[in-house]
Amino acid sequence: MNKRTQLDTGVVVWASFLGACAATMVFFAFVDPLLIGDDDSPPVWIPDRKTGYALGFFFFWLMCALSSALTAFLLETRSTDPSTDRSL
Amino acid sequence: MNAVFKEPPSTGLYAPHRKVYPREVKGRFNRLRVISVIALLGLFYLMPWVQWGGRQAVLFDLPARKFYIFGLTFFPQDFFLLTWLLVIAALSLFFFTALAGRLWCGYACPQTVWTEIFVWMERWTEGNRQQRMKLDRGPWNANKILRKTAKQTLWIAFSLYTGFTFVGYFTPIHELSNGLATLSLGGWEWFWMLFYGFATYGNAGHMREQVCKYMCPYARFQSAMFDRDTLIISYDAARGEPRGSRPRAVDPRSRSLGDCIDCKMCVQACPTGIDIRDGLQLECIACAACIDACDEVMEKMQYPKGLIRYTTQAAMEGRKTRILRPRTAIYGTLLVLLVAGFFWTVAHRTLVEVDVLRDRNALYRRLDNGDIENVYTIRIINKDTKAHEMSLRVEGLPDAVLDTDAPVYLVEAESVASIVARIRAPDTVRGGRDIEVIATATDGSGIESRAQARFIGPAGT
Repeated sequence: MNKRTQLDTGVVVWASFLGACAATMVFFAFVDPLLIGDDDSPPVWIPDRKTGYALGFFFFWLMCALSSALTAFLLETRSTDPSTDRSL
Repeated sequence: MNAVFKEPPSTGLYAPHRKVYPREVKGRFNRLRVISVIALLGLFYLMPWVQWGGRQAVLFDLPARKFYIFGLTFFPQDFFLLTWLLVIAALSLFFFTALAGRLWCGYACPQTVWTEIFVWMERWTEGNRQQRMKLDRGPWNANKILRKTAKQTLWIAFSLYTGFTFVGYFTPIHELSNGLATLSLGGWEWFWMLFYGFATYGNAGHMREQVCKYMCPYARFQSAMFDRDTLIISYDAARGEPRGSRPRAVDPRSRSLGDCIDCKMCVQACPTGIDIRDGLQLECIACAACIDACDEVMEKMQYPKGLIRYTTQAAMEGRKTRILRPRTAIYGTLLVLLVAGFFWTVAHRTLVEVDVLRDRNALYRRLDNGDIENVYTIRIINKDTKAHEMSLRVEGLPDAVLDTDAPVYLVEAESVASIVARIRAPDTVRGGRDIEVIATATDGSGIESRAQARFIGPAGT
């Protein structure tokens, strides 16, 4: 991994971390992890709320990271058409 | 023409990172920062140990979905208050930035505050700037191993304690310390303690100014709040230039020199490694270390202080600095209104709330006598610190009655009661109708709370 990729990865991980924090806060303010799933009985992989919050956080982090990585990738590899070059 | 503004090739965008060895400074702004560090971190480390009314004063009890802040208890239903608080925080950041520049960065940001502590620990173990640079250049001898080990031990211990304190805001800290002592903590407590501890260690020990330069969004947009009357740290080039060294006794004017003796103390003191004499830069976190460093030199040279000082662009151009201007007036007014509104809302919060959920399985049921029945789960959220006896009734539908298993329900303090309620109406109701469910305290406290709901009858008119 060259220096540029390393730094880009850092930005992606960090920006998505911030996004995941915000998403976790808003989501779990409205949704009780124990009430996820049908008939008010939580799935086995949410044995308690702490686990639910943590899994939710990592899920949001993963999703945000995918989105950030895709954004970074598209910006990095976009066409060199002069009309879209911001440095002009 | 265009070629002049072309960005350098992408590989050149990132300069190799140079380790910054900030020189220790003495002075009034450093004193201010030390006071700020002690006050803010003191608050952070001590607050979880403060008890209030038999429980931890500030506790974000996520497993129970309750936040305790001194005498107040907040439920997920109070989420808008948290949003409100965040808006207030953002607006005060704008207000103080417009007024006094990056005050936040220099004195209050957790990154600055924790880095300061980590730099202290570095100084205790590795010595001053010269000693640290020499140590890093030198071979791995016994002295270096000892000093580096001592530093890492202090850093890691402090980071772990920071992680412990952080988790102590979410799990009662007495429980947490008992669990730690008996090694009976849950997995998530361990995980978050190490996670936060590692983040502290990485950010304050190793990343430092790189967090401000590469990671912080505020650093990128703060300049949008700046105007000509914003307080900035600036080098007085008119007074300082041309810079150059000179013996102390010589009058600089006789050698056509300015007041800057080019000692580079301001550069060495800078925690982000910039030269303030090149003008205001994005990297400057306005910590004023260069002011302290320069003032000390000016004093030794018996020149007036303030060659580098807090000033504004307007003042540098010889105009008067305006504190009251549209930007500060608007930010300030909004801030006052929002803060006042926030406290009013917290003080006038309804202590009991009602939530009505329709039964998911059936739209309606026809009873033997022809009446239409809808089933609901009604949640009574009691945020008060004492229990309340509540009864339920329905309004908005003629002749409708609300039936529950018991006539009154005791809702314990700071808890939620889930009650199954059946609302029955005569067979004249057609389609959906808006109704209101009202919970009234029967204990004479005068508490009443309402919630909207839908009643559904057979289709038709």
